[in-house]
Amino acid sequence: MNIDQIRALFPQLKQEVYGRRLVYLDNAATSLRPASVLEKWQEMSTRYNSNIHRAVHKTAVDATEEYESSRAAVAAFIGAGTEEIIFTSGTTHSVNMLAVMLERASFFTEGDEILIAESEHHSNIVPWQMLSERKGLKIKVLPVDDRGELQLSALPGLLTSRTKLCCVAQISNVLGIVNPVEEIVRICHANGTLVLLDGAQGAVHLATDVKSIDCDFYAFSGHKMYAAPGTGVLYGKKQLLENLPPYMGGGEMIESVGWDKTTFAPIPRRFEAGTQNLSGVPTFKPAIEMCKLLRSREIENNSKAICEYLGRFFSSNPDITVFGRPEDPSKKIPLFSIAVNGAHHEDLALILDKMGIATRSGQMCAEPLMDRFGVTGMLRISFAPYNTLEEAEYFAECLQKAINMLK
Amino acid sequence: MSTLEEAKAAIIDEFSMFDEWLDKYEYLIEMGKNLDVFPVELKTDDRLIKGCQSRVWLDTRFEDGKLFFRADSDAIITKGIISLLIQVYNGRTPAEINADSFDFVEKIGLKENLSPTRANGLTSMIETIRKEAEKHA
Repeated sequence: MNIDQIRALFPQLKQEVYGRRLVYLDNAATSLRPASVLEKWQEMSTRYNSNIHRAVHKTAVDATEEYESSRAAVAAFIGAGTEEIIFTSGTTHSVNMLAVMLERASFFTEGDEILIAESEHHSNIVPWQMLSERKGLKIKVLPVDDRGELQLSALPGLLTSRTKLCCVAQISNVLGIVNPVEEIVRICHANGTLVLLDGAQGAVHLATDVKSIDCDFYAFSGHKMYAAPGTGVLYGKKQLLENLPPYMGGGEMIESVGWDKTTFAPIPRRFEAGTQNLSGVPTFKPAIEMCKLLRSREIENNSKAICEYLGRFFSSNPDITVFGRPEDPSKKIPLFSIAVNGAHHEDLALILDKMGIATRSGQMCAEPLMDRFGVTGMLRISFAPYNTLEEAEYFAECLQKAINMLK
Repeated sequence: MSTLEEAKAAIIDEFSMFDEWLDKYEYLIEMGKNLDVFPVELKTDDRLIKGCQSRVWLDTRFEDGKLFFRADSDAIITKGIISLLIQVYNGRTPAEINADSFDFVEKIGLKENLSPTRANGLTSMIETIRKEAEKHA
């Protein structure tokens, strides 16, 4: 499939803003959704609407099948077992839920340590800070270097006998750098430290196999990989999940309920209390099909061309600083966060918006990383496989115009 | 000195001349550049409205029954809008400000600059002007 054919699958790409064709470069915040996902989403309300896992009637059975086959599809997508997939509302929900479940399982005792990468999204920082407050834990930071790469050499020195968990993103949402997660997992495991990977950006960009990475937990969102918003996943290794207590009580998460004693359903149902996102979860199936379709040589070449073009453009302008410049350029996804000398990120984003370009400005939910680089915010553009080189060129031209206006 | 209503009307009139968004922004950038210098010593944390986007510093003074505002931002378009807010609300009595509907920023088509994103500096600035007026009413 060529790019034009791919673009035709995403209805919102035909959208106009301020009388101009929308150039959507905010894919790291949320991706656009293909027609196949939108159709499934609607079909779940117009054809399969009924509550899953409960009733015996035809529609409920079909809806349950839609839901559970999505679990199988997600499991296959990341190389996990079906019972290792817990559906959540998104990455943030997944991380918070894990923090509470580990706490209830008495996984941490006072004085234990959690190691968190400096480049993490707030969603992989704040739940652990909240837990640390409750349990008297210590948070340590795995720093990034000036290029934005995690300082792997510092990792062994940061791990102690008290380090129970290491939290790191597969790909930073600000720097667009693919982190060396296999190596991090290996080093952490040698120390007896479990690893949670935030796959919010990684799930859509990389073919991920949780078994070969060997991470203990993997969290990601549906809406950043073409599926419906309000969908997400927490993967956990079976033997770990089996030892974790429920997060919420109620609904179909039980085995039996009595006034004297209530017992819980096996994993993963134990973790899915209440009515689930019936319409959203089944969109994982067409979304995963889209992810696979878009992992072609042609798309890869297009993405490479965009990276090379923008790399040249940014380095030709001495006022522009790019954050996230890995030594190995193949570790960079087409996501660029920049600062422009003499032009505020908010001003740039507002002007670009009026030119039809959707970008992200601000702290990108990574305030500690902004502090690390001494900026109050950045301008981020993040590309998806449906974005073209022409759009990158148009962005560069408009950015230059915006800079000239602000100087 | 014009009344609050007159100052508002003048700005709305001025903005009605812009057909193009970018002309509107050019104008705001110019206004931002010409905004009275905000004394560095006033850039304290208690005057800072810290948001995800631009930062806004606001200094308020109540004197002779009138409210006086000085403000600054690190973003120039926001600074331009600050300049408009000061033209309208600076040196007014609390009664005048309380009687106002605070809709002129929307009327000149800058609603997205006041989007309810986390701690939007400008939104907070308008909120502060309103609260100060209520406090001294």
